[in-house]
Amino acid sequence: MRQFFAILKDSFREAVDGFVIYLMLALSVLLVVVVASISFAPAPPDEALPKVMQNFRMIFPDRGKSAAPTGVPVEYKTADAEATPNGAKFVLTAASPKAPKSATADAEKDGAPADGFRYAVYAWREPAGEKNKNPFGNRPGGRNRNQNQRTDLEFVLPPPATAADLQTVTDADMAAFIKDQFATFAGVGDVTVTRRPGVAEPEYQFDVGLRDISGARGWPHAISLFFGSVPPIKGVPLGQALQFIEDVIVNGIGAAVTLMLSVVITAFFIPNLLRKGSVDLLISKPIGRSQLLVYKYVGGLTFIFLLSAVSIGGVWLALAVRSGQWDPSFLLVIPVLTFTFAILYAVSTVVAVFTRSAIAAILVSLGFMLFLYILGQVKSFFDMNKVTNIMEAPDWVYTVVDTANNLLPRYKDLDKLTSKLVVDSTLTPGEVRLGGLLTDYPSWSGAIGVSVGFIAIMLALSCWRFSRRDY
Amino acid sequence: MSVIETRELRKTYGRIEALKGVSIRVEKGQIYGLLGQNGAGKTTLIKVLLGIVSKTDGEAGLLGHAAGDPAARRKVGYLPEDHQFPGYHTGYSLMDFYGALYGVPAADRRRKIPETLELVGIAGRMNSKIRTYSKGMKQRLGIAQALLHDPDLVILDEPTDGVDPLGRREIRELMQRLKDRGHTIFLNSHLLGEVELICDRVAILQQGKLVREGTIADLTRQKGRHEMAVAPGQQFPADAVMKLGYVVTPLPDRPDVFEVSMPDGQSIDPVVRLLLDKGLGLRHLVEKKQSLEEAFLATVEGAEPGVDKRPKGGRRVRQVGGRD
Repeated sequence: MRQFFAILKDSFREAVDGFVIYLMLALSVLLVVVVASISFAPAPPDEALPKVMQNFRMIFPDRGKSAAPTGVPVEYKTADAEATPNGAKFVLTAASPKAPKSATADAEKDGAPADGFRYAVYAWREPAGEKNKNPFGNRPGGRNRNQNQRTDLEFVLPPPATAADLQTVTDADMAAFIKDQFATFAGVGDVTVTRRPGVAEPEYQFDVGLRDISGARGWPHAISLFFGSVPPIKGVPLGQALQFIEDVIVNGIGAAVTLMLSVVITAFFIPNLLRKGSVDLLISKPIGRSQLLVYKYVGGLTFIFLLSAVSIGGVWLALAVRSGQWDPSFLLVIPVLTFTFAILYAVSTVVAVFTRSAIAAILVSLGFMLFLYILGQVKSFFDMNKVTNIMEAPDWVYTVVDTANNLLPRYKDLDKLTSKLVVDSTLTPGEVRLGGLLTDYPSWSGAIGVSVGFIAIMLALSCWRFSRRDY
Repeated sequence: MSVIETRELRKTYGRIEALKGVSIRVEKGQIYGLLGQNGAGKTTLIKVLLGIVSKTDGEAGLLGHAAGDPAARRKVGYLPEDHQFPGYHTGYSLMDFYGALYGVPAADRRRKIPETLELVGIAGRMNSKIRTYSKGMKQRLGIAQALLHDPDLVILDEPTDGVDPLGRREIRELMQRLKDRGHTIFLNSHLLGEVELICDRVAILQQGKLVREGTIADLTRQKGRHEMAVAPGQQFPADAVMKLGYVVTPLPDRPDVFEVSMPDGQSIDPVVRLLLDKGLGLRHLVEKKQSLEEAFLATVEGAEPGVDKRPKGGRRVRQVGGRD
């Protein structure tokens, strides 16, 4: 291990020798400072509640456990809203003149009143109904060849109910439903609900109390830069703002720039090691050549690990302090970004060992990065096309795209997975589940397994060449 | 056990033969000099021993291990010719890095690095970046890194390259001290005067072949040639000596001293007896020697300077064996 740490330390010295690393660190610190200057102020209840309750028509059956949602139109209104310390209290009115006909036909036949809210609570309480069919699936020429792809959109129909079924809904069910909707769509977990008596059904009134709204992910906030000196943007749910900063700014633009600059900086490490007069000195030391190369490779990875740790860790800390959201999932982007770089650096290493040219290593690595990005986009398009059949394409195109994606590192998949990490840690459970309906997330094991295999092949090739060559 | 031993060692680069069956043996505690023109194969031989290049055929051993074995390299310090140290290191940090690669514990490194740098005379600049060092300082640093882990064998490829005369003398003295402490030194140098001063044994490579090997005395001895003079006021009996079959020539700068060259297989004893019989007093009798440089030039004279040329129509002239 002494040799390993010596080479790690040497790589670190090499990395910090140039000005680019300091420029990158300065940019990271600047980003952290800007993020730390963002203020998040919860919107007052009368402004926030209508926005929060826009999604209440969406229901996750089986007491919120179903992954697939359904919808029951109910009108929700609030009155007498007032702010309490870090919370709000108000009167919630739920009313619907009619439930969907298709579902309550039996109830109407039985002479029961059309009761949308009661039906919504029933649909929430009971297991999910039949799956909705993919409207694109029946199009002529629809492919749907890949068994792993969804052929149905993941929506379910509300379960059918009779008037007698609706009468099984209790006040406690209604209170639990309202609490779950606030938890699902506003991220507010501390909710008290009491039904007001004396209101004629099918209208319902509840006294609702919310607490801890300032850190609630779905609660609209006023967001301003530079400690409030810039006029705020109002009505943005806290989670969506955090997701934009973490996923778009840091994990998107920031990560792409960091990856490209890191490829450029670290591309010199191996060619410098292989310079005449330098390589002899190292090879003459009691260390195996493969060991030396692999350690140097890992040394290159520590460069981006430290850089991303500073920037991502700093942004996370600043956001946590300023927003009260301390979910550490975003920090997992640090190892994932390092792993993504490991793929590119493996390519850089093999090119450097064969050519001893830093320029060649940079060009090939960046070219490969672009190729993987395009391949990921093409794969996403053809996966979508399997369902929607927007574009006619011969079978071999699908085969080529799928094979290339199966064999090559999953650069785009890793990007999607880190986005999912951010989404999961910032958005409300309802937004996460609804967002998941529109996105196919790859598996971690597939994305990492194939990429690790690719890295291993690249390093094995590099070691083979380095071990056999005369210097 | 020999410290270095090669038998019929061969190395080819494509169609170029850099080493053509070299056999040498270096014993513990010796300072062994390796001489040869540029491209003679000296650096290639060192690189094969250290595993930097692979051998094509033959055997090469280092401290009882096969050449290139990391276990052997642990006990070897090496200063390559034209070395390039990373400019981002200071003298101290470079020594620390290499010391760690040799497995020297951190506490020992902290103690030995200043000592070793002091030994080569650059301790005062050990915290400066190497890119600010002069060539001579880098050379001294190179020697220091080769000595840090107290190796059994030190291989130095042109150690005095770029070093001023005073520094060269210090390096010579350092090598002598290392030898006195039982270290073995394998020295590759173009400065024949230095080699002559400190080496116990010398090998001369010529176009990949070992053409001479032996002690300095062996290589510089001129067999069958003596300088003789008799007592002042007496006449050297040149005619009588020539009648015995010897060739007698007065030295141009010292007319009273004669060079006596013997026919093959004869000794100087008959001449000594003749002088005694004639009642002459022998005042000067020295077996003639040449300098190592003269011996080296005599050995390699007429040979092409370490290049392989294509016999006919070839445009390529390729140097082999590194830049030695």
